[in-house]
Amino acid sequence: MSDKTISGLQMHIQSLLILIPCLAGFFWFLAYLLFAPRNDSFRKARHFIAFISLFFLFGFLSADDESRLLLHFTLFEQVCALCIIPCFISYIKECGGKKASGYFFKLCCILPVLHLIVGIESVFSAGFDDCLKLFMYSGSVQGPIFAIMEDKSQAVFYVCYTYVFGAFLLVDFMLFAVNLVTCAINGTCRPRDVFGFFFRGRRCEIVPVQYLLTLIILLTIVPALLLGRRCYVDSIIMSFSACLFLAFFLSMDAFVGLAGQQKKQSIRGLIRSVRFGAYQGADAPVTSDGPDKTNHSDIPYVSNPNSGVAASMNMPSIGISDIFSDTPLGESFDPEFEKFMLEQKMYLKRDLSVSQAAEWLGVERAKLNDYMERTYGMSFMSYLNMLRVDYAELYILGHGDVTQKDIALACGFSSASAFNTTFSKLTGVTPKIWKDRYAEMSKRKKTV
Amino acid sequence: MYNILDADLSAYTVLLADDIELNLVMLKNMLSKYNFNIVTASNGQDALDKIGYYKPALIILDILMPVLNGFEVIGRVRENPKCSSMRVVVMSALNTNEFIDRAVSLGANDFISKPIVMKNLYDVVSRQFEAVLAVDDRV
Repeated sequence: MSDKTISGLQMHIQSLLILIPCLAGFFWFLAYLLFAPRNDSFRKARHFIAFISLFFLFGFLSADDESRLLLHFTLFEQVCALCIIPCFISYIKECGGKKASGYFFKLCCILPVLHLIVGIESVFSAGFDDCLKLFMYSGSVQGPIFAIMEDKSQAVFYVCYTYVFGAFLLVDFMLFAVNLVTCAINGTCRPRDVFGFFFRGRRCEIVPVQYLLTLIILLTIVPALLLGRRCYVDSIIMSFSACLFLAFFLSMDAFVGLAGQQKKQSIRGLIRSVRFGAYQGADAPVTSDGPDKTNHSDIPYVSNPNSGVAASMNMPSIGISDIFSDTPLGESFDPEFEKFMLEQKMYLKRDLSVSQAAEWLGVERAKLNDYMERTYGMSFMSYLNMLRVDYAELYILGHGDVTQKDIALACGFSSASAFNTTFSKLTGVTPKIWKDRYAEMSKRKKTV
Repeated sequence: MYNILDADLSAYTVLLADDIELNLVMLKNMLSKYNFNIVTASNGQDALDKIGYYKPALIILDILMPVLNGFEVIGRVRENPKCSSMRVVVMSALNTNEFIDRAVSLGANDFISKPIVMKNLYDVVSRQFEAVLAVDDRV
């Protein structure tokens, strides 16, 4: 273990590298818990990051023994693996429920579980003396430093596993990079643009923290591979450096969230207001993901109604003063809401939720709900269903022989059964009866 | 020219006819800024019955309704001399020229496209009530 001894200077640097982000993360976490808006979609991701920071802090406090530090460091990874699952589930639900949970997402959920299983297996398959060492190996971040592993066959297994996990994260990282480039080209910089991608024609989001974990992996793997068995301390320090980066994001995110809460506005509202302000009077760039698509099959692809096209439509701006106002949304919000829902036909976007709409519009969910009740006398979802059923009636008239599933999907419903239920509830008759009635009406029209 | 928001319209009734109750709820809510009375009907026959009973100054009706569709309601209203002064506005997602022409030829005074945009609704209602008030000395 002599080559793994941390020197005084290294320990000092390491201490600072750990302590600063940990404390920053910890206090920002506390501030977030106290003040951050509940509807912030980054909420769970922030919890996750703060949780990591707490584990780092715990590890640091017990750093008098090198093994204990490493044990805590590795244990945190196991907990992270568990934490990722609810994060993913949350984001999957947010971006489309069951429809969005394709194989990719299932894989995302399975891998952390595998991670944990391997970690547990490593403990039971080894003797007590090797437990700490195996813990290090089961933590995938340290996986590449397999050179100090005594059992080469075990090392090969863990390395293979590590690289599978790493490859998965690398894909995320590449998506992230592609999105960044795309956003740069389109002139947009919203988190939704950066942290999203298309999967089976549906726009999805990945937990932003995953990108940061990817960075940690990359920053750790490279020196580990280059330096071999002596990279032990170096890779840990690099990991901590990456955590500094992570904590920076946490701080920024929490700061904006905190500011947003103080002004009763979400992070997206702030970003949106800045972007809208920037576009006022300017020739707004038209992005490729413009929402003004009349073809219903394209509607699920609608990305950001507030980006280029929407801005170029001279959509009314919500100024900083409006965003910072505590007053409910008034009549000045009417045109913007109608453009969002009606002109852009967002009601045809499958699985559109009030949360999503509030985010797109840059307002708080509670405010949007209040606005809907006051202006339309119904909830957002009721209004959404009403528009969809109206559109379904038109669609049925315009298309002769189409299945209920086709109608449902064309009109924004997630399934034929959902369409059938909603249509029957609103009109009092099933779509089939309604269709028959129309056929009857069309015959009688000639006699009127 | 009257500003109907300031005018006392409490003596007038507006009939809203649509088979989707939520549409009626929405319309009632949107029109609550005016002080006229609002009556709703869930189908064409119901609308005709209430037209006979309430004598609304303005009728806003959907085309696609059960029992009697919007076209049939307009036809019946215009056949009745007692209802000749009533203003009729058709609202429908069927906003093709063919449907609009047909509604106008049957006696509709105006048309609102669905989904309803508030400004369009207010413009139409204001326009129709200006016409009502211009020939009525109740205000």
